[in-house]
Amino acid sequence: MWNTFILDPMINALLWIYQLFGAGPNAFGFAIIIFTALVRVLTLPLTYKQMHSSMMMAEIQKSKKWKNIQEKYKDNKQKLQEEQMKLYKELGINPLGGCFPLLIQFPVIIGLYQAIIRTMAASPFQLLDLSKHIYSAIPSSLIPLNSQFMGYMNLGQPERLALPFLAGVPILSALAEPGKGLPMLAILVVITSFLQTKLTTPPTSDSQGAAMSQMMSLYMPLFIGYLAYSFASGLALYFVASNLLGIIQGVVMRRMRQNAEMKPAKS
Amino acid sequence: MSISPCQTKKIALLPGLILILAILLAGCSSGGAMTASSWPGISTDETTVYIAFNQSVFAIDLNRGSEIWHYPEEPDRAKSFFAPPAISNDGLVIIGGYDKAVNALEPSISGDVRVVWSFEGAGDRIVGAPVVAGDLVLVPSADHKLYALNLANGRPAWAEPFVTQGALWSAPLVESDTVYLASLDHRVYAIDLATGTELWSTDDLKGAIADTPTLADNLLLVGTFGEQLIALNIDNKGKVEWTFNTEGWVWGSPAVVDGIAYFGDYAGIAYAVNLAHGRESWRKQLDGSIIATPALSDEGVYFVTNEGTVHAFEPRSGNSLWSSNPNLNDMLLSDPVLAGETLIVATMGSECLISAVDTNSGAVRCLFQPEE
Repeated sequence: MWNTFILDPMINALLWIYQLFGAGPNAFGFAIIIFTALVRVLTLPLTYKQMHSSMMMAEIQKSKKWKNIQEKYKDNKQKLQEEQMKLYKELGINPLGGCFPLLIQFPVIIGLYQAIIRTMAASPFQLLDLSKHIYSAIPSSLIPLNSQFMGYMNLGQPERLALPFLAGVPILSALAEPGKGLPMLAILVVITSFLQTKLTTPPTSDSQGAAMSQMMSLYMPLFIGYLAYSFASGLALYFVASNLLGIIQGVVMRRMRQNAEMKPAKS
Repeated sequence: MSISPCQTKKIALLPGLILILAILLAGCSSGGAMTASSWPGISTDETTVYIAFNQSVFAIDLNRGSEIWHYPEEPDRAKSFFAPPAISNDGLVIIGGYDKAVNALEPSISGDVRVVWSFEGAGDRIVGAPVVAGDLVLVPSADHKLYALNLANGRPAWAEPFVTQGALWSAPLVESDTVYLASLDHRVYAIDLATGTELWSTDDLKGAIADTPTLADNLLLVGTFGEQLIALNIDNKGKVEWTFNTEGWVWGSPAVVDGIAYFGDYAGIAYAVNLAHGRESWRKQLDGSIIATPALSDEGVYFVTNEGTVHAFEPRSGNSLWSSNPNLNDMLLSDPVLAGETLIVATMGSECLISAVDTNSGAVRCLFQPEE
């Protein structure tokens, strides 16, 4: 079921895009980027709904009415929740509206990870496994994929950019050696993950929620950065592409929201 | 202050999602120490079976099935071995690892193993078997390069390694002073053994080549993922003499005797092809994909399948002699090796890593299973 509806179509779509790019050096890197963008576009209605719902919730929490309820019922949690629900109902907001899209996206994200990792097939056993997932319409001459990207990167291996100019510098000289250089993609993953989390997590007036958001915005980029540092760089490339698209999406949605707020104010 | 129901759920959900994500990613990674990235590599001499699998290389007494030595002393999560070890005339065991290193081991009678030299100049995993050729060791690497090392000290012997356009997953074939090398870049290269310079190379053969070519007189035979067995003429710079179309990818090498090539494909078909004209003598549909090179004796040709079955056929007629299942529910992907009248097969190690199959009757006994 998982393979038939999620994994196999994703693997074959990835291979098809790889073929479109000429199946040579860089083609798999571009295929990852294009495929990530396609999946982002396909899941856009869900992410839009999730972000929209989060923004609405954040706005309510800033309202005077919300603060009054918090103050009034601070010693009665049950009553507080009842009043909160009443307020949501009044404003026509479903407080669980952001959860469902998040859950729906999760299998898509996992499928995407698995498709990228499996398609890279850096060992005979992985290639044997990949062969079980390929549709007959995909030419076998494509396999195994050319995983070279940007001249120095093997997408099946963790990425390290050698810096030859540091060859004579004490302590840093190891960074000049091939395979031991700077993990540029992992650094980019941390930066873009941080920016994306900051842009897509609406500010909240609730102290517990704010603390949790702050913790997540710090730990999540580090965790994803660690994955990018340790695993095949094809995965890191996916993280960077996905984060950059997420940042663009976050910026656009914020602008749309600001414009929507300004219009009623003018009228 | 309180938080909304969705925020509560998201907060509860996120650590779980991260954990699941970490497990899934770790499971997908080839670097997972306990997950085999490939199948065991086996080689033998007259008395010993050498097997490279996961974190260890074992030397097993062929008759008693007892362990003679293993390397390293304690499994190291950073090291894993799948390439069949190469054995030199003076008893050095050369092993290549997924940690990109090549080690020359000198086992003593007491079972201790001394590392004589190490080579760490490869840029990627050693998937294919190293080969000893005179006083050289040839090491194929997934970094697209073939390294020639001095057998005595492990230092590079050629001015530069020989570079192809794709990963090297198979052992090179050495015949006289020429090295024949198959690459995942769809090409076969002929290289001068002394200097490492190219003598000739083929055009794109329209499919990756994952195993060593087989030489039969002047024909070099390669199976490809392009679903073909291709015969190249080594007297004519690798010109294609004929091609034979198969039903699936050809992973293993053909085994040749009396002008007939025996090999299998991913679709599970065992073929016998006449080398004179490249036409089929017989074919048999087996119970699973054939990844390994078949073993061949005068009496039989032995195919193993990923369903875990060994099939024996009479070479000329293709009549079935017997079939047996050494280890139910475990795949047979490694090349079977003949040692006298015993066929040595390796599984993925779920119950019995190495089994000995009697080539006369098909009777199976477990030869070796490493301790946990």
